[in-house]
Amino acid sequence: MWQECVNRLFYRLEVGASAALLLVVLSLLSLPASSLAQDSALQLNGYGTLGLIHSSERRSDYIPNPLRAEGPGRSGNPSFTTDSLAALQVDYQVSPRWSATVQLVLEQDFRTDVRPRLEWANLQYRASDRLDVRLGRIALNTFMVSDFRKVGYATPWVRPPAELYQLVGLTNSDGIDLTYSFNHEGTQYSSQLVYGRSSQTIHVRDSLTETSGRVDLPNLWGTFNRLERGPLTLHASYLSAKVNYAVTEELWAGYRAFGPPGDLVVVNYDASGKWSPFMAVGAAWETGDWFLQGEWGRGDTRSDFGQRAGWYFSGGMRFEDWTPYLSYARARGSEHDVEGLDPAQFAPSVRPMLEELNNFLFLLQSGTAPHQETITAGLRWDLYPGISVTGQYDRVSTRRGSIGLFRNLENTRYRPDGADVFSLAVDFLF
Amino acid sequence: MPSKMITSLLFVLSQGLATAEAEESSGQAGDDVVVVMWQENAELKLSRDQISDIFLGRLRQLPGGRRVVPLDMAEGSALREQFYREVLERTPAQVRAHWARLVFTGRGSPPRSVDSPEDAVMAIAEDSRIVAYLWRRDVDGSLAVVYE
Repeated sequence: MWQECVNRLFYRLEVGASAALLLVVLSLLSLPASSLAQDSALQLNGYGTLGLIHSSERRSDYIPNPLRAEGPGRSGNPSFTTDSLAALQVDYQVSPRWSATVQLVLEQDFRTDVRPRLEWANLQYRASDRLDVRLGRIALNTFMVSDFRKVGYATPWVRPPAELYQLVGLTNSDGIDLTYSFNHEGTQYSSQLVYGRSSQTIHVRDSLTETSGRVDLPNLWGTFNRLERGPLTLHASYLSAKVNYAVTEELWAGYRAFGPPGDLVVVNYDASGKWSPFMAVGAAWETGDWFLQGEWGRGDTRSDFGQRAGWYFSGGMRFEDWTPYLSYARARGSEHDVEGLDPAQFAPSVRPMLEELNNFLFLLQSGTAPHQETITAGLRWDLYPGISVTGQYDRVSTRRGSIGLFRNLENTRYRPDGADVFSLAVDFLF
Repeated sequence: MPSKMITSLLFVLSQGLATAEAEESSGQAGDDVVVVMWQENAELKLSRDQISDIFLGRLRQLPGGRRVVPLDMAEGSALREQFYREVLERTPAQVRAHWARLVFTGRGSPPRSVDSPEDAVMAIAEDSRIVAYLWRRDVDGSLAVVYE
């Protein structure tokens, strides 16, 4: 009930904020340029990506972006909506200590319509030189580039390695955060504590069921820590969230119809209401001429679905305006097999239904804790400061019969092997 | 006496060459980029890492608590490009990417910028916290060079 209220409030805020922002932008554009002087209290900045992605796998969609319901492959090739987006950020310095930030992102969301969403909307208070407090919708820095993962211009790749980044698809939380940061003899330290809630609606689609439901995180807290010294950056984070999966209600109802053995399956696999932890560490070495970066993360579903982990290693070199790069990424779900109910123990008439349920259970695990690896080779061209063009090739392979990051399967029994994925993205700042 | 004449001629020539070299190098030195602050900072010397951290938004005060505020030249100016290339070893695209990361995560914003070295000198006179970069030849008595 409280959840619904907050969700509706934020939805209205989004619509209101979008309208207000549009008015602000239009009126600002009509002002002479000097009014938007750099030291004025109001700052307007934007970023965007125009991206095309093509997958060789036609019987399912490859969806490397956790917020999309469709991707290249079965739903159409190439896809323009997977990577494309535009965003506008307004920063307003209310007073020396108070400032407000709103970031609106226009991208395709799970319902396959494109609409502006509030990525950020917060009030910041500079309590001291070292302490900042923020209230509102805040970025979650789970991984090294989490808080700027949508800013294609700021990262060398077309998108952050999906094997890791899709493990925590959340990019923001609504609540409060405290950041303690300082610089000591050339080393910058930053430690952040976040408390809030978040919700994401995921759309699960296959040939038999079209399930769309909410994954609610009514409670989450996390700590994100960063150390920077010259070319070196180190990152460590821990996130714990209470998760409610409304999307799986039908599945559990199906199992419960089979009596006590079915109830046991639900008890073993239903992760709703439990605190689910996730931790990640990362390191990067970045000079003017080359970079090396690696990250690893692992979460526990607190159910028989087990653990899910992902990691990647990436490097690139700069030659004038060209930066070729290579990456290897791996997603590793749990090693034990999903067991639903054994159809042989039930009457022949219900076996097909049970097999479908077991299959769906497998698909659920496969999607939450995928087994997949990708080898990436790409080239970024810095055409002009503020505009870059990146071409990327990903050789994606699923492992252990998992569906990896492939969705919208042609039929529920289909298991894709992998795909050759080509992406071309133009990233820009304005 | 011919040998004496040749010796003195050679001497004069060598002096002439030396002067020409000195003039050439001072011309080059005039095209050097130096980092300056208000004149009261004559004793202060900053390292390249410190300059880098100041202009990339990582350092806001020096050891001892002195506040520093960086001042940029307008984007696209030769002075700015040379400063970033030589002192920070970054291309304009890399600088933009760096600030994109900070701006779009709320962690900072780029330095204020001015259009000309004269504007920079005036800005420093108004605010002694400012750290700016200039061509060496534009440095006047009101400024102290803190990095070269």
